[in-house]
Amino acid sequence: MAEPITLAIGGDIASIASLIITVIVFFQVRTIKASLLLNSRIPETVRDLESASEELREALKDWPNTELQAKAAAQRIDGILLNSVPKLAGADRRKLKEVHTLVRRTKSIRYKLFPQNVSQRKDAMWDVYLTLVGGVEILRQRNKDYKKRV
Amino acid sequence: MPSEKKLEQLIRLLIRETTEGEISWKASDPPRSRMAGTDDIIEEYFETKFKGQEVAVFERRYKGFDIENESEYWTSGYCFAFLSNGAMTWETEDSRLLFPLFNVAKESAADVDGILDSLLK
Repeated sequence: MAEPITLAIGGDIASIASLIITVIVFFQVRTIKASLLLNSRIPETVRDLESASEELREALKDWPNTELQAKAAAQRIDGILLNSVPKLAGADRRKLKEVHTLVRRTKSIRYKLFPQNVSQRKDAMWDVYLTLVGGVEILRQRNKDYKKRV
Repeated sequence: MPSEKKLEQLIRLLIRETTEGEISWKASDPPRSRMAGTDDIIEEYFETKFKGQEVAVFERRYKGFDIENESEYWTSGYCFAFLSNGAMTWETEDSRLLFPLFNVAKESAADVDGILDSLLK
């Protein structure tokens, strides 16, 4: 014969249920917090990346005389991406990770060992610039969506 | 519909050639046929010839409609087009690189670098 549900058993069930709900709410709050932090950072990241990409494009106008400026701009882009990529998600993260890989490639040992490869280095920098401006555009659109939602 | 990849390749090439001073753009008016029967406002329109082909990039301002608030609002988009004898034969807004292309075309048409160089001589 089944035992009737006593007050004590009912209390146990209720506390297990509330524990499950608490865990769910904890994860939801964590997700919301991460998304808020991410969205509030986007305008600043866009601004920083825009100014760094413009610096890089300026340096590409007079290559190879301005190679040092290009390297400095790439260094700045590297720093901004190092900080912002982990905070991003989805397509934004993939695209900016792609840019980050390209930036890293411009610092590869291949270019240091063969300083005569001026045009290859220039192509690599152009790759960084053109991929970066595409990534910045994704972030700009994401920011527009966010502003419309709030 | 041409492949997105080819279009992106072309736009990347145009940005690079413009920045390096290989091609220059000029500000102009959009073809009359483009403006007929539309509420679009095109104030900034730039044209150039690349490998014998006339191409244009411009900003299209238009009124959008917000369904939630049931109100109109102004917005804009960037377009790229092929032309033949001054008439637009094909137009697209489908690339993330149109805004950067528009900016370099605008800089080239205004000859910003030329003006700065002559002023700083």
